[in-house]
Amino acid sequence: MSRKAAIGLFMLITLGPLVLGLGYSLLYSLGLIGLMNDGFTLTHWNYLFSSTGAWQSLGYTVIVTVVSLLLSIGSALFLSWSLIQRPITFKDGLSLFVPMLFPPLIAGFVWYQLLNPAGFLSRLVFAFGLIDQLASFPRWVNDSWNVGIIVTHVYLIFPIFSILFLAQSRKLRMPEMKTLAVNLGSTSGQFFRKVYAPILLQTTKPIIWLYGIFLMGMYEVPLLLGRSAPQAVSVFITEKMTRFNLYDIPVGHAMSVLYTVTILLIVSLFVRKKAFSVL
Amino acid sequence: MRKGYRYIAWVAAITPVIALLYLTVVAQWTYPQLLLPNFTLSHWGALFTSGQLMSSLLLSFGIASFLAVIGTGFGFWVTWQLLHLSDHRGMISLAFYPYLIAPVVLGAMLNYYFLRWGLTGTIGGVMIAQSLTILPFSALLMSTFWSARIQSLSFQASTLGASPKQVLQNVLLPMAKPWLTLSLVQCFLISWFEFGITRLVGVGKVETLTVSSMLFIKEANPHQAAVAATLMIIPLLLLFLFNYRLIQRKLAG
Repeated sequence: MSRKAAIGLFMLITLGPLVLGLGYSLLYSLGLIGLMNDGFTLTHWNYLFSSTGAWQSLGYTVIVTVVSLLLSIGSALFLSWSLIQRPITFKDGLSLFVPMLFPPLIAGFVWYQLLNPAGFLSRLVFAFGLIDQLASFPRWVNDSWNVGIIVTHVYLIFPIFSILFLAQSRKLRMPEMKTLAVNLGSTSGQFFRKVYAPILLQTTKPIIWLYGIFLMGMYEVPLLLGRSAPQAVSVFITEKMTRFNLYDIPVGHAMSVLYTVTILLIVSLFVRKKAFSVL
Repeated sequence: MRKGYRYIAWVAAITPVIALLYLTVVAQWTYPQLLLPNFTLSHWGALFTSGQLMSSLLLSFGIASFLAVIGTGFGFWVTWQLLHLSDHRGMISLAFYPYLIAPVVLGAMLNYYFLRWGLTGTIGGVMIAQSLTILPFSALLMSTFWSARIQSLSFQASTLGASPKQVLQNVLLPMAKPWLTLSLVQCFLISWFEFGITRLVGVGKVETLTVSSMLFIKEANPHQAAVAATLMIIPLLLLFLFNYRLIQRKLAG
């Protein structure tokens, strides 16, 4: 009895909200329910696909995600590599764990304070005489290159990857393999390029997908550090759905259907069955 | 070179903490001042005078603790009950779906139901909204506990005459302790860090620490925002420092 109840409850908790939410959004985006809607129509979907805003938002989110992910993974590979054959000091412990204590909202806030034209970094370079006025400091927050967002994402994600790579390389006995490779005549750099990086990336692939998905849904950081256009997908959706323009609501719902279905597909294809091997 | 890299990582990691603490104690910090501002404790004083921050702190702590316990209990129970299924991993991995959709988007799609059922703007509503992510997460985490060894141990205990209750109390719970602790901490953190869905469902009425921080940020009051942010981070930092030896042992493999 309790087993059946558990199955029922589990299905309800995992699939219930998705079915309810997705169903409602789909019906709303097709004009079947909701304010200002009167009957089946594809207008909102047509609008979504023909307007540049939605595509820009999707493309923008993907690009920022990929760049943040590549930078995080790259720096984590280097850091784990430099930590693998030596005892981990208290300082290293701080570099690995302190960023994890930051909620995304607060990380976004602090990096805004550090990088904005009147922020800490700007004052520091001013004090060193490198710039002579506030306006000479480059724009790194709410900017077109998304420096602030990417820096914050890397700050949040890179320690997690470092710890993951460190644990995996120990599990795979990388230090011993390296000694072996070096004894057989390979250089340290060769071992890093041909063995260390490829094997770690291969074994942690599902987790990399997982964090890619997280970054794609990141809300607080682009909210604080992004520009008003293009917007990250989650910001785009919530703005469209909660602002006062009633005509925007179905478009927001259409976008959320598009986003959710994309994520569900990625999870089905790359994460679901495989992530357990690394978890 | 390697040393330099580790040094950069260390500086990058702790700079935000220092910046945050610094912001909580300076006033009239005009550009281009860097180090010689007016120091003040008045931002911290507001913690006791205005009451808003204190109540946010208690509210966040209450919600996060409650959900940590519920989430962990649910994760342990449900993964235990699902074990007999031939493909229990496949079943449990369904939890990836709700867990990986951005909470704020899931919340936006479900907003209608929250409104309809009178949950919008209530603490209960916020807790239900947060548990949309916390419960699946805990199930995913706890499912890694049930290895073949654990299962055969509990089976052996039953064969030797232990009642299901005894198996739970004397075998499973003691062995699951590290997982339970991890799940409690992680579920607590998910709730403690959560902003998007909390603001969406709480519509500003449920002022957790993240929501308060955002209010201060929006009011262009970085000093008060920094106090709220520090309140969020310092307990975690202390926890980290107290458990450092344990963490170090894990890191050293």
